[in-house]
Amino acid sequence: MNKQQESKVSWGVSYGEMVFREFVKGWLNVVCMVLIAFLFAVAILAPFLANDKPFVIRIDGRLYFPLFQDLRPNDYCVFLAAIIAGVQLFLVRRNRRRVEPSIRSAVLWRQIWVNTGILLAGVILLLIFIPRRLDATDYKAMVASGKGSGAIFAPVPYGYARTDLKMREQPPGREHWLGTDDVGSDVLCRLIHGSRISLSVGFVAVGISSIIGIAIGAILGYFGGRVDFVGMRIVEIMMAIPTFFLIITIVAFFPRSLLNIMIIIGITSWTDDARFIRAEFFKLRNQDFVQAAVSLGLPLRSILFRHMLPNGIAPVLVNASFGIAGAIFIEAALSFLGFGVAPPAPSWGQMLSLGVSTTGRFLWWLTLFPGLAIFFTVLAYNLVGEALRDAIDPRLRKAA
Amino acid sequence: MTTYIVRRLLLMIPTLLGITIMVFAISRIAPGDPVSLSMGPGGQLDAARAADVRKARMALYGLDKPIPVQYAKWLGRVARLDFGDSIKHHRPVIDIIKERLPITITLNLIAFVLIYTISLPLGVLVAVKHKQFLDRASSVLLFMLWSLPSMWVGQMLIGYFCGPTFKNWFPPAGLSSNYAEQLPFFPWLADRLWHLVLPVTCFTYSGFAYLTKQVRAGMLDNLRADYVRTARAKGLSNWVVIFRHAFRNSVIPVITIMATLLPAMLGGSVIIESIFSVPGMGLLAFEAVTTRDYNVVMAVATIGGVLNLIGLLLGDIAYAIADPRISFESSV
Amino acid sequence: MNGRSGVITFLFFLFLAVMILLQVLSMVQSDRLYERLNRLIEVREGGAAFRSKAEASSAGLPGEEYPGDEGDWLIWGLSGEPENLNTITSTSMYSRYVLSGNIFEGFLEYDPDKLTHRLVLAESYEVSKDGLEISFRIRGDVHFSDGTPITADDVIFTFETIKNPGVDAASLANYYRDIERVVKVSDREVKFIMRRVYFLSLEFTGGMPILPRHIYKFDKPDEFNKHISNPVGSGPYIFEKWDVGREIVLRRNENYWGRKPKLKKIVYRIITNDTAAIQSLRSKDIDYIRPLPDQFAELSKNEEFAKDIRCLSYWHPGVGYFWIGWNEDKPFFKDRRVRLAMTYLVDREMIGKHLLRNPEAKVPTGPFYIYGRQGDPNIQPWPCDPEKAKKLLDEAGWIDHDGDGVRDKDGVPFRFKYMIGSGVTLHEQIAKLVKDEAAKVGIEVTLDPYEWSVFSQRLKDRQFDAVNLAWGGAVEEDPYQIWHSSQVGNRGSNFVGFKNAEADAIIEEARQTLDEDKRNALYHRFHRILHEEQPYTFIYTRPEQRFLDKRVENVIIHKLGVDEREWYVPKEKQRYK
Repeated sequence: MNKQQESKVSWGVSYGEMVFREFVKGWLNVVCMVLIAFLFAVAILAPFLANDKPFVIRIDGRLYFPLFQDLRPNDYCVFLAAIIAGVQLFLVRRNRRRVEPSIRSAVLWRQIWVNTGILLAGVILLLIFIPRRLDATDYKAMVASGKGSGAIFAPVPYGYARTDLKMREQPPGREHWLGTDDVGSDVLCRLIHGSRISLSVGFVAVGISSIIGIAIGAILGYFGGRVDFVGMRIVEIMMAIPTFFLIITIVAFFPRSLLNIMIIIGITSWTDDARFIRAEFFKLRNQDFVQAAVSLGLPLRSILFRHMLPNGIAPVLVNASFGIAGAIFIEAALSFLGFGVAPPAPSWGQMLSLGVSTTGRFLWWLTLFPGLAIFFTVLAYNLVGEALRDAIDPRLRKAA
Repeated sequence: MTTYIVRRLLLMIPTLLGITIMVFAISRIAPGDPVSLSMGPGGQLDAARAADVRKARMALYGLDKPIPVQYAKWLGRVARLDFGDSIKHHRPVIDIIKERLPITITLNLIAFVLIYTISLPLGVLVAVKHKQFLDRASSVLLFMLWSLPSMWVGQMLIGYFCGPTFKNWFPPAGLSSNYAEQLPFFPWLADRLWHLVLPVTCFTYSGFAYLTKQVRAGMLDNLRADYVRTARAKGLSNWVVIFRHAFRNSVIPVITIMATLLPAMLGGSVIIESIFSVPGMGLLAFEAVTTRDYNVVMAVATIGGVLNLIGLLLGDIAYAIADPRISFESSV
Repeated sequence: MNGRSGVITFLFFLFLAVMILLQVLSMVQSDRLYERLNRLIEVREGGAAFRSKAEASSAGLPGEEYPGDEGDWLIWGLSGEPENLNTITSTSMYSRYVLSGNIFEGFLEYDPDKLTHRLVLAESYEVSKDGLEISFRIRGDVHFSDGTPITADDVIFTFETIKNPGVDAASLANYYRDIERVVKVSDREVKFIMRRVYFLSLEFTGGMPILPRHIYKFDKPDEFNKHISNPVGSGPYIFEKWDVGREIVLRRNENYWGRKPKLKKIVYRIITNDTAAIQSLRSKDIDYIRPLPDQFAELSKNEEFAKDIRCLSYWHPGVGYFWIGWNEDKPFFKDRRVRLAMTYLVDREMIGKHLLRNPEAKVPTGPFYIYGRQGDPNIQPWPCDPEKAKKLLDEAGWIDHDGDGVRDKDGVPFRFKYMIGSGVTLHEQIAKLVKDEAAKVGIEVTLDPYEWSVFSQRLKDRQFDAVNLAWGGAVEEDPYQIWHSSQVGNRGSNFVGFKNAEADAIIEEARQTLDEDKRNALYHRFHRILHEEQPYTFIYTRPEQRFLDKRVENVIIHKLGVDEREWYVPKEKQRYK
C-alpha cells in the first residue's frame, strides 16, 4: 500500500494514465466499454451459450460431455486469446504500481511482444494438434426417446448450422426466442455465434491495416524526400480506387474464408493510418530527442519504433477504434451482398439480407435483431473512438 | 500557385497510370471471364465445340492476347477517349455511364444539400449552446445516426413503408413508376421525387454527424478567439458576431471538404442502390465486377480515379485560397 | 467578407438547379438512346401492293380466327433483360421470350396438344427414307412484316449466317453441325443434306428462325453481330422499340400472313427486383410475370390477390429439373454406393413441401420430362432413408476409423466441398440442408460459393466435388451432350464425368433411330441405368408458375404450356388503346 501511495506521489501520472482518466470521466464512455466487454464475453463464451449439444448427458449409465468434446480448435484459440488478453490487462495494472513512468512504455511494449508471441505460438500449436470433430447427433431426440437422461443443455439449445425446414421463417416464440431464418436455424443462436465473426473481423482487419499503415507511414515520414515522393504516389493510388470495388474484385480471387476477408479489408484500409503517421513523423523528425538518437547511431528500427512511434501513435489509436466499427460495417455489407463468408456461417449482415422476403413480406425479426446487434457494436466502438479522441486532444481539453 | 497546380496535374499522370495498371491487373488475374459467363453453364454445346467456341469468342473480344498487350491496347484507346464497348450490354461504355451518372449525382446532390442545410445551422447552434443539453443530446443522436448500418435502415424502411405488412406509402424499387414516361413534366417530376424519398433518406442520415462536428469544432475555436472578444467588446449584437465573423471563418474548412466530395458523388453506394434497385454508378460498378465486364470496370476505375485526384487537388487549392496562413510549399 | 455569404447562397441555388437539370438529362438520355437504336434501320409497313389477309388458311393451322375481341395490350414483367435481340447471336432466355413465336418463325412448330410437328411457314415437307435429306416447300402466301415474300434465298442466308465462323452464333451453330449444306431446289423449295442420321434433325431444320436476307445481309460478319436490335421477321408481331433497361415493345403485324392474334401490343417491362415485380402486378402496372416459388406459394393462397390475378401452375416439357452432381473423379464419389447414399440422405419430399412450398413439385428419377414418353414411368424415386445411407457408406468402406466423427477410407476423410453459385437463395438453402443431413451420418460438407462467372468456369473445368444446378427441358431430348463419355473434359457438359459404356452405346444408337417407339425403348433402358448409377441426385421438378391478370381470357393450358397468341381481353375490360 505504501509503495503505491509513494509511487503516485513521486512518479506522477503517465500519458496513458492521463488519457485513461480523462476517458472514464464520461459515464457514456464507461457504458460503452462495458458494452464492448459484454460483447467480448458473448463472443468468447459463444459455444457455451448456444449449442445443440448438452454439457453433460447420461447414456446407458455412462456420463458423456458432448459439448466439451466438440469444441473446435477455433474455440480453444479464442480462449487462449482471452486468457492472454486478461493477463496483459493485469500486467498493465501492475505496471502502474511497480514500474517507473519513464520506462513504463518500453516495458509495456516488451510485454505486448512477448504475449503476442505466446499467442501466435499457442494458436499454431492448437490448430495443428487439436482434432476437428464432427458431431451432429440429435441429443434432444435422445432425451425425448429416453435413451439419454440427465442432460443439461446450453441456454440456447440450437446449433447455428442446424436446419429445420418445418420451422422455416417463424416469428419469435416460445421455442425460438428470436425466431428462425429461411432454413429454420435459430436466430438468437446465429446472433451469438455471429458476434465472433464481427468482432474478430474488426480486430484482425484493423490490426493488419494499422501495421501496414504504420510501417509505410513511418518510412515515408522519416525519410522524406524522394522516398516520400514515390511513396505518396502509391498512397494516392490506393486512396483513389474505391475501396468497396477493390474488395469485391479481390474477394473473387480467393476462396471465401473469414481469414481472407479480414486480410482483404485490412490491406485496403491502411491509407488513413499511413497519412497520420507520416504527418506525425514529419513533425517529430526535427525534434531534439530524435536528432539525439540519430547522432548516437541507434539502429533505424529502434529510432522509428521505440522512440518516435510511441509519441505519434495517438491518432492511430483513435482511428483504430473507428476502423473496427468500419470493418464490421464492411463485413456486414459484404455478407449482405452475398460476398462474405460462406454459408452457413452466421454473419449478421447475411441475416439482414433475408429480412424482406420476395413477396414484400417483412420478416421483421430477421431485420431488427441483427440490425440492432450491428448497431450497438458499431455505436460502442464509435463512441469509444470519439471519446479517445477527446481525451487525447489537448485543445479540446483546454476548451472544456 | 500556377507552378504548384501544374506540378500536381503532371503528377496525376503517373498516379493514374498506377491506378489503371493495378485495377487492370487485379481484374484480369481474378478467375472468371465474361465469355464463360455469357456462355453459361452450357448443356447446349458438345465438348469439342465448346473449347473452340470459347476461343473464338475470346478472340472476338481481344481477350486471348497476353495481359500487357491488352493493357497497351486499352491505354491507346483511352488516350483517344474511347472506353470501348461493354461486353455484356454490347453498347459503348460511355453511353452506359452517361445514363447512370445523372442518377447517382442526383441522389448525392440532394443528400448533399440536405446535409449542409441541416448541419451548418445545427453546428452553429450547438457550438453556441456549448455543453448544454442540446449540445449533448444532439451529439449522441447524430452519433447514433452515424452508427446505423445503411443496409439495416434500408431494409427497415422498405419493410415498414413499402409493403403489405405495415404501410404502403412508398414504392419499393426503381426511380419511376412504369407509366411515368407518358406523364407531362411536373407529374413526372413528382413521381420521381416520390421514388427518391427513401433512397435519399438512406444516403443522408449518416452525413449529419461528421459535418456538424466539424462546424461545431470550428465555431468553438473561433468563438474563443481574440477578435471575437473584440467584436463583442465593441458592442456588436450576438447574432452579428456569430454569423458575420465566427461563422465565416469556421465554414472555411467545410467548404474545402466540398471539393473532396466530388469523387464520392460519382461513386454511388452499392448497398443503397442494390436495395432500392436504383440504376446508378454503384450498381454499375458492382455488376461490372461480378460479370467481369472489363471495359466498364476500367472505365469506372479510371474516371473515378481522375475525379478523385482532381477532387484532392481542388481541396488543397481551395484550402490554400481560403486560409492565407497556408503556404504551398508545405504540401506534396 | 460580404461576398462570402453571397457566394454560399449562390452555390446552393446553383446546386439545386443542377440537380433538376440532371433529372431532365437522365430522362432525355434514355430517349436519345433508343432513338439511336431505331435509326439503324427503318421498318417499312407493307405498301399498297399487299392486301392484308383477312382469312388465314393453311394445311396445318385451323382456318378460323382466334376467338375474342380485338385490342388491348399484354404487359410482361421480365426479371432480366435480353442482352441483344438478334435471334441468332443471343443466348439469353429472355430474348427467346420476346422473339420466338412473336417475331420469328420457322418451317414447323409443335402442335401444343398433340406434340407433333405442324406446318407454319412450310406448305409441306419430306424426309428421305434414309433420313439424310429433308426438304421443305415454302408456302406461297408467306411474307416478312414489310411485305417481302419469303424465298429459299432467305433460308439459305439464315443457314449460312449461322454457320459463319465470324458470326457470334457458336452455340446455335452447334445444333446444325450435322447438316452439311442446304440446297436451293427452286425459289420456294430447299433441301437440307445431313452428314449423319439424327432424330432431331427435323426439329432443328424445321425450327430454324428464317431471317429476311434483304435486311440482315452483311459484308463483314461483325456487321451482323452488331445488329442487336430492330429484329425483323415474318411473325405476328413487329418490333416497335427497345427502351434499354426499361421495356421492349412489340406491336401487332397488321399484314401478318397467318392468324392475327387479338392483342394489339406486347410490352416486356424489365423489373429485376422480385418484390417490385409483385408490387407492379398488384398495382396493375404489369399483367404477367413468372413468380418465385415462395411468391407463388404465398400469394396464390391470398384471397385478395387471387381475386384479380390468375395463378397458373402447369406442366410442360420445358420445365426441367434441379440436380446435385457428384464429381466421379473425386475419391468420394467414385463408388456408386456412395452416390446412392447421398441420394438417400436428401429428403426431397421436404424440399418440395417446405422449401418450394409447392405440393405439386415432384421428385424426378431421370433427366427426361416426367410426363413425357422418353422416360420410364415405372421407375420410382429412391426414398429418404438415412439408415440405408449409413449402411451403404459402411459397405463402401467409409467408416469412422479414427473416432473423430467423420467417416474415412484409406486415410482420406469424407470432407468435400459443395459448389454453389452465390446469390441464388434456393441453391444455398438446399446446400445448407444437404450439409446438415450429411453431418448427421458423419460426412463433413463445406459450402463453396462462387460468383457466376467463376462458377461457370470451375464447372466446365470440373473443379468441384459436388455442384448443384438446374437443366431446362425439351419435348424430345438428346442425352448425348450431358451423358456421353466423350463430353467429359475439354469444357464439355458432362461435368460429373459419367462414363458408362452401355449408356454410351444406347445414346449413340438412339441418335440414329428415327422410329420414335424404338428410340424411346432405348431411352427407357438409359433411364434405368441413370437411376441405378445416380451420377446426379435429382432433386425436384416443378410445374411452371405464372401470374396473369384476370382480365385476359382464353388462357388454355395445352400439353406444351400456354400459347399467348390465342389470348384476348373482352372489350369492356380492355385497359389500353
